[in-house]
Amino acid sequence: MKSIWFFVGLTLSIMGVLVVIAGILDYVSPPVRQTTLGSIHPAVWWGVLMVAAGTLFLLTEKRRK
Amino acid sequence: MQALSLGVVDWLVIASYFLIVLGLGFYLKRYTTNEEDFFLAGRKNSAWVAGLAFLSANLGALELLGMTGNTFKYGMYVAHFYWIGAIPAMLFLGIYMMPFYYSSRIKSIPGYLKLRFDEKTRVLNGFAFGVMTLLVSGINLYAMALVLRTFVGWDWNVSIWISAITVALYVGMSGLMSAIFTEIIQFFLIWFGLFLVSILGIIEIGSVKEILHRVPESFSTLWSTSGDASQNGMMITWAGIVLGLGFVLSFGYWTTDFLVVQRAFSAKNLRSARMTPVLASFFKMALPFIVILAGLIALVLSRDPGSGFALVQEGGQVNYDSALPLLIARYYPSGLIGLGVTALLAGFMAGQAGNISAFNTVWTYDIYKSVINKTASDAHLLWMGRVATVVGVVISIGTAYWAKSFPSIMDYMQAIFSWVNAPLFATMLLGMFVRWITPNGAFWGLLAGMGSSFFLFLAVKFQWISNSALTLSTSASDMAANFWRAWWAWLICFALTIVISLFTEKKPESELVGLVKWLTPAVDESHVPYMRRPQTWAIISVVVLVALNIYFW
Repeated sequence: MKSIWFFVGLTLSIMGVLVVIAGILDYVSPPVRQTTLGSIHPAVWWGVLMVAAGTLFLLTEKRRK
Repeated sequence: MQALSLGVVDWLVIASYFLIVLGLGFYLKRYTTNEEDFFLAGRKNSAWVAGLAFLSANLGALELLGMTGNTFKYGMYVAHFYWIGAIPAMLFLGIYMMPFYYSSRIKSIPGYLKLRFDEKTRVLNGFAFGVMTLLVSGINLYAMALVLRTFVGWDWNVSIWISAITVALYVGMSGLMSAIFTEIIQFFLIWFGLFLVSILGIIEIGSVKEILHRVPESFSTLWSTSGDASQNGMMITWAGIVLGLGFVLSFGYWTTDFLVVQRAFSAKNLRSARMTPVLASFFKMALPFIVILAGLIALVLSRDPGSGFALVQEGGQVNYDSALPLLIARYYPSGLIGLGVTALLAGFMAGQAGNISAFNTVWTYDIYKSVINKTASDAHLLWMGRVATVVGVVISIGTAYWAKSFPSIMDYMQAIFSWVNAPLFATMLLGMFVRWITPNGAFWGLLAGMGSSFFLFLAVKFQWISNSALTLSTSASDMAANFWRAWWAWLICFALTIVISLFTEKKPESELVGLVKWLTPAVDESHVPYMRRPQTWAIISVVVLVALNIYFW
């Protein structure tokens, strides 16, 4: 049986990738209504952080096996 | 306010969450083959898994929204809910109470009452817990639909039915294991989905120091204004905080509420079960960095006319719960909005799953098997657990619609805990640590404690007595009244249990071995390295707790 950490990794990776995609789309084509601090593109770096954390959980699960 | 607008990617994030939790339910079903798997997740979880689930079962979205709003209303005093109002109780559970719970191999808290006292005390508590759990579950469902309609513009019925059916499916398939798995996923989603609000708030305002500097002093300290109730935002003295919140409400909830304690029962051995609340205490102490910080950021922004930030007003009343969604709307671009909404959804659904998984266990073992069908087989109990899951969800939906037609029921939610948990803590404390407490003393003391709490609630509500008489203070908020009512209910239960026990028949001591401290051998951990002992980590937790309180004094 796969451990919970595998599913945590999967969730963070999938959602992280989606958030990064949204961030890149906003970067390429800025929205009409910019959010406060939108200029620092939080979706891009936060999404990357989520993917990194998710990958770490997936690797931990792989090593555990 | 204008509803948050969701883009395609936001919808994909939300859809991926539903697919993952439903997939988890299907995946875990093949490993759920008997009643111990369904009700106790097979008793094979590590302390980390049980600890995160223990914390997450309490970490509902309603709490996140409510506590952020309460910080806006009361200031830093809300941090007491996370520190003195949680940590000592969690550590006490792990170090002193868990050996009796875990070693007696009980499946629920009412199950302990049956072993220590008798059947009637078990059924009384089982019934009260079942009603409380379904009420809370339904009110959570109502609150979720309300939040999603107000802030995201979703239809009431769709929100309620989709989330309730999803919870019924995955809890019905694999019971406590799927509830625990989704609670842990929820824990990470809440951190990744909401902590960014605090980070962006700090970036906008400048620093944490600047945030504290820009709010009134009575809103930025923990204890220094607690000598006089009129000098702090919560209008409560240190005695109310320590006795009501820090002692009765906190110990009543964290040490006896089966919703959270059930997670520790799923641990693989006694040491892991003891480590469960100890590990959770560290994560609990970190939560104010989401909720309190976000509440203070909202307060600072609302005091700055140039920021354009103001809470939602409804019928002349400020909607404090709007603080967190408004910050999400302010800072989150497309993609992140979906993540923030998913974090809230996950909080609501995991909270409901937690309630339903605790309800199906108490119903099956403490009411159905105890009163209705005493000879039920294991296979039949597994079937009954699944039926109780579906029925519990249906009753929750009914409660949600009831709450919709009777919105003031939300006012009762805080009070419900002090009706059931505060007196129960007195019963448990006496039961575990005083050998001569009798079954009749426990039953009548518990009944009187629950009744007195309910009576005091009505007495203040209908102004038979004033808040001041209850709180021993000239000025008091509703929150202060909740704390003091819990204290009086606990005291009445504690005193009556002792008095009645002096005149009624005791249980033979041979039946109390393993259930009462003085009749049970102490846990021997001399062979375990210091850094793997629950006591060592409990001491570290206390040191961190003291340091935080001194720093924010």
